[in-house]
Amino acid sequence: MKRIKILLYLSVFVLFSCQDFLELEPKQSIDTETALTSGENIRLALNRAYVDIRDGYGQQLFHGAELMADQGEINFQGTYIQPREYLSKNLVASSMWPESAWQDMYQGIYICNQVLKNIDVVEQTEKDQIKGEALFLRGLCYFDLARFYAPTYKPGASNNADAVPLVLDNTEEQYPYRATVQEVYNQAQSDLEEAANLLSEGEYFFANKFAAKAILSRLYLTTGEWEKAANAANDVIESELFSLSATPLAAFNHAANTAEDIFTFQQNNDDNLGNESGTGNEGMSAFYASTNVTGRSDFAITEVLFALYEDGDLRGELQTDLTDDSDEGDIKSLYYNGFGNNHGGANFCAKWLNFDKNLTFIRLAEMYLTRAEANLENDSEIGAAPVEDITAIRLRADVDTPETVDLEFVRNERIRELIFEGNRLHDYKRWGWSVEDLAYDSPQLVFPVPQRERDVNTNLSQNENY
Amino acid sequence: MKKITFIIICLLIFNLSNAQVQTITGKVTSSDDGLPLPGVTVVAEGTTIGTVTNADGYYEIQPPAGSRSLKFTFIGKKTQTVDINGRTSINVQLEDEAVGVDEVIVVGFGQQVKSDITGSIAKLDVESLQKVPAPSFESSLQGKTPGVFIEKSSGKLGEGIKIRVRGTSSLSASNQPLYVVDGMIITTEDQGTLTNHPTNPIADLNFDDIESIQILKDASAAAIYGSRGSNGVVIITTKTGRTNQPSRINFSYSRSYSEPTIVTDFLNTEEYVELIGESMENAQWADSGQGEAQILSWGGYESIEEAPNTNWNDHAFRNAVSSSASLSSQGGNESSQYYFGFSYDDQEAILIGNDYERFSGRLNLNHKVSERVDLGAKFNFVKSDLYRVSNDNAFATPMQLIAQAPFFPAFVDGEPYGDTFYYNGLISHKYDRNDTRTYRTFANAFARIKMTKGLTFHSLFGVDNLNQREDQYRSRKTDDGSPAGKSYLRNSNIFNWTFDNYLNYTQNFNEVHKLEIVAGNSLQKSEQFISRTGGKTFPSDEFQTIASAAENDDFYSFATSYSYMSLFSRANYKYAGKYLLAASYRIDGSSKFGADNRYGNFYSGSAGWLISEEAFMLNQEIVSYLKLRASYGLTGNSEIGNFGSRGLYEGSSYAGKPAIRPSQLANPDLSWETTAQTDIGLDFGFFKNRINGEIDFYYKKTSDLLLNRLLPYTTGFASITENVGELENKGVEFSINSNNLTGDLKWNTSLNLATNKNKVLNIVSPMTFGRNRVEEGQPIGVLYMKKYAGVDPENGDALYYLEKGSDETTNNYSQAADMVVGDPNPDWYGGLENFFSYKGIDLKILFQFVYGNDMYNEAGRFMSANGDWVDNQTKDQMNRWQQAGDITDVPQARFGESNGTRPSSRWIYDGSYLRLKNLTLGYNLPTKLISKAGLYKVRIYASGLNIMTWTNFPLYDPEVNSAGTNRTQTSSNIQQGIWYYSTPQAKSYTFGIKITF
Repeated sequence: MKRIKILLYLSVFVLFSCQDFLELEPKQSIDTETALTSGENIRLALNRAYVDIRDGYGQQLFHGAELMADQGEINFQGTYIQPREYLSKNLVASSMWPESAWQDMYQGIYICNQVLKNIDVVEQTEKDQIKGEALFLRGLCYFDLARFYAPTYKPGASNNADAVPLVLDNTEEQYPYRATVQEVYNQAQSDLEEAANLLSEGEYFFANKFAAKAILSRLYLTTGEWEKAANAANDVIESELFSLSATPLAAFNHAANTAEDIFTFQQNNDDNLGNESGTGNEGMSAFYASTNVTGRSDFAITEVLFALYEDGDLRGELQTDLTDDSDEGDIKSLYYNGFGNNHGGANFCAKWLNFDKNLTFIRLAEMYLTRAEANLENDSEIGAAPVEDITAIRLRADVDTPETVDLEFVRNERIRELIFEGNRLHDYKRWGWSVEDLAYDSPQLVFPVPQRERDVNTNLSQNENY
Repeated sequence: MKKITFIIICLLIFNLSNAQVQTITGKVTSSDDGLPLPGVTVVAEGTTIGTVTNADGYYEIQPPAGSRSLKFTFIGKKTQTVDINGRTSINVQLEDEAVGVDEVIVVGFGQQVKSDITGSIAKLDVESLQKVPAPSFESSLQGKTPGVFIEKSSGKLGEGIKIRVRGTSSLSASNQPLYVVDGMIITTEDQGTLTNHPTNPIADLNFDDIESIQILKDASAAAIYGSRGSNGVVIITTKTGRTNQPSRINFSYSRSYSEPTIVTDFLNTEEYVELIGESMENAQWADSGQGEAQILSWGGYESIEEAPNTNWNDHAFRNAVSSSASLSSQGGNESSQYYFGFSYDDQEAILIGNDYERFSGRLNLNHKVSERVDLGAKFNFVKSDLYRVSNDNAFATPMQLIAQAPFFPAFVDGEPYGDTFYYNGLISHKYDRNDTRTYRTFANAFARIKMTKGLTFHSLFGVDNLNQREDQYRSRKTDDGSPAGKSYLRNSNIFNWTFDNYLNYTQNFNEVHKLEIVAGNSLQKSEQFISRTGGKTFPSDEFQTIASAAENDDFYSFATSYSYMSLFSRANYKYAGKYLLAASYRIDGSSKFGADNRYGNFYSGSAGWLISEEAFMLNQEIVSYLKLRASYGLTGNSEIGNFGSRGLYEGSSYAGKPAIRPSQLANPDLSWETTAQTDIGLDFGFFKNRINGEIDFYYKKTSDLLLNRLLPYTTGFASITENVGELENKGVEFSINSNNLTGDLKWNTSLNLATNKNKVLNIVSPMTFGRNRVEEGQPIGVLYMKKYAGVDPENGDALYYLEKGSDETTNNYSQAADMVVGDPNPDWYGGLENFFSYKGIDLKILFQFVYGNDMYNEAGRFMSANGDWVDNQTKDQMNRWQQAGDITDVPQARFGESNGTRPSSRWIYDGSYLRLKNLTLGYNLPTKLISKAGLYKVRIYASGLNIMTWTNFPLYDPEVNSAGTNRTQTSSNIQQGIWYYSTPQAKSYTFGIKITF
């Protein structure tokens, strides 16, 4: 009987001695209340904003801008429906890529807003840079959200069509309305301009002052503020912090920023868009690269592309001597014949060879083209004459340089230089160029507001055509 | 043995001193097979004098003078009392107690006889189920129990089996029942990587080790499991030897041959070239008349004559051979009893590359330390290997071979052909490896101490330790492994322990009051640790472990845990042998609940009336048993995320720099879901229970549904978890058994039927996962999309209905309204079994059916898409529209133009089916014959599984439930009735032998 009593007492004792039994702590998370209370943690949170925004661009938006501007340069030989929807300019409200880009961008904006809200806990020495980065990222997001999800900005017009919700403080309205195109551009512009003032010059991993100026030059081109555009591009060029790579191909596929990169989203072997769970089915190289590099051989490059270039232009050079035993290191031109399984005998673009390389975002060559275009529009020679800028670009491509250039030439040069880098559709829209049989302002060239978002937030209107 | 000898000597001495003794001898046999029954207790009624039958069923007893009858008792058999009438030899046949009212049912923290139970509890006839080997024991329950819906996700091996007790009562939390094995709550959650289908940790239990399975269905039975009772509770006990049971050794072996139940035909080369060629011409991919040449040239052919004609189905499936062997023994004496069992299973799936191998060993021991104290321990070790193929969404998986164009060869010179349009999964099959090895240990120790009369103390400490290792190698020759090979390793360890202590008090007062009370406490904690590593760039395919990798490809570790602390009690009261009352109460505290809501209360009350015991029922012969039951109670579902209530920032990184990421919004009020369930049931038996059965009506209302309330992405989050929403399940369950013939030729029929109506009463906003949707007033997971209106006979355009209920159609997909177009929940399901036996021969025929559910072919947009792309097409696509006036529901083929290929009701089908689930013919060799060889019992049998299937579902097998990619708990609750390159079920023929000696 005694033994039994001891056992009973023991069991009661066990029960009452473990009041902490239910107090378990998560092992890979910290509580929200304490997360943003130190400068170190603010920096850590902001780092994550780069990831979200990178992932939004690195597939959904970059592909959107290129495939929706495609006029036969790419022959899609993959299986996914999402790129086919882009290529056929045939999106629906429930299309997946526009939805996930929207989500990624607003996740990034949320972090930026939280960082800006708690910026006062950051030490003075770090404060400007961190605040500047948050503003840079937020401004960049709003600029591109407006470009993709709203009708084209028309300089001088009222631009009062619905764009995207403008969320600057996430503790406010949970179910916002869409702000107008003009309002969103204004916000993007003021964020980027403030960022350009705050950011340091010497930062290469994160955003620096010239990243903000470079993006601003894109924005000014869109809004038709030519002088500002030329000046912003000129500031970047004149900083002399950047220089053109030796060859066109050398500008791409680097683990660290090259001298030509003004801003990239960083990627490495362990953190990138494209190798999630080892499948390599996402991101840029997954679609652009041939099998046996890191891709799926999906985007076969056609004669339409090669017809853009004069003979000998390095930017249109095709390498044909690769075999199934070749590897990434054997690729020596911007275009190459496929190797490995299922390439279907096609040729591929070498701008995106590997998911573990930085995501080229804005580079010096664009600044020359922007300065040239803005100067031509503005009838000025801020920094240099347009023909000099075009000459710089063409010399590197090992192709004849013109005596004079006009707007048409500069625009075509811009396409030849920057094709497949995630901007083409916006350039076409700026110039009023149609895509195949669609006018530049066709509602088919505008993303839908994601159906999921409208299901949840009934205050959101839908774009024409969806 | 000494004790027994002593008792016998005592008895002898006693008998010698009694001058008027009579000796009675006899043999006790089993009525169903005529075999001798050892270990039957024989007692002279009204005395304590008794004996047990020996190994050959013989007994000898000397009842004292004046004894009028002998009582024969044996577990699992009906107790029989036989008048002596001066006889000296009495032979007795004991009948099975299969549906007997005195059957012992294991309930939470105790056991009860069936007639005393006021709740709805299904007990399965395990012995009969075990006559046929099953890959996993749950699958053999299919069609056997009303109100328990069982569905295998596909014909792949080792993957999750969906079990729903009385419908789906949760949207975000798990809907699988709670499994309690030998008193211990075991780990049942899927342990596999999220990129493949769920695994099934329950498959680690060896069916042959199981002695009983009961399923607690209503609140009165399940409320003692409190916050985890809402989905029903499956209580399993494993075998133990019985007191004075002679030791026997059982050996069994079986071999199975399997093939797919149904295989769907696809286009041959000629048809394919015709359709795709036409499609290309229609969409200006080829000039008029050049379409066939164009598609042939895509395949690298100049003419159709040089193109092969491959039936890719032949390469995905195989004739699979499986075998299973087991050896077990059980027995016991007065003080100690044992069971041990070893088994080895080697199963092949009908799908190439998918195998399952399991070794299991178990030892169960009981020992009576003293009159008061019983101790015991159970120990089970399992090792299993699951050889897996990729998920159904990957080209690498064998089922996706059916997407390949028929004009490609599968192999060239023995190597899988590399230039198919889509990646050829045979390359992965040949060069890749994906093995999941599991080590599982179930161990527990328990004590039962009699304290005073009627009061017993129980203590149990149990451990369930699960170690799973997923080891994958992807060759450089494959898409996923290029350019230089990749290898991944994932380990998951769950250590889950339970410590229960409780008191049981049973007392009879004044003969008419019977009271039983159980009260105690329970602690449980589960800790999980997951780690992953990955490497890439291997010297060659001969090096496959990460040690040889040149570069890292993945690194990760993750730890989580949860705990429960609970108090529970139950009281059962029976008055005058016919009025029953029961109540239970449990307090659950859990680390999963929010700080403001840490403890929950759960209770139930129930009553029963044994009408057949009333005086007015005693003088009739028709109704032999009639019991009315009613119960009401509250149970919970706490299968939510371990830290679901906290606002969290999670560790992350940005290209080599550390980062933190907002991962979850806080909700300190977060708690369990509550289900209030009312059950009214009637148990009946007619003609001395030759016909008996049960009927139950239930209504379950679940409130405080845990919902991930969707937030606009503009908030920075996709959702927040809240307790909002309500849904209901109501249904009827009916089962009836009839002993149509008794005697030498026996014929037994049992039928069970159930219906469950599910309705969402209240949610914040509609939820959509793929094609399934949750919205108010509708059952969970209705199919929601555009409604297909066929083909415009004028131009071949696919048409959709503009609005719900309107006849107006449009060829503009975007303009058509989304609407509910189907319901994947079945209206009725059940089974019908007939069992015949004659002398040593027995025959079992089981039909199983599911009726009234809709299915959607998610792959229809690829494989039944009027040649929209290069995927091979189902045969019906040849009926495409070709010229004005054609009446068909297959739109004009237009290559790449998505004419009718976007999700719509075009691919919704009736998923009802009727199956000849099982047919088993067995033969017990005559005792005379085998006893010469020293054998006790030999049974040989042949059995067929899924032999015939009748269905209108056009694709492979209708029993399927695609898990979807990037699945979450919520998506797997809601995604139902989806076919997506799903492996059909296996049709198997098994031949086996069981020997006892």
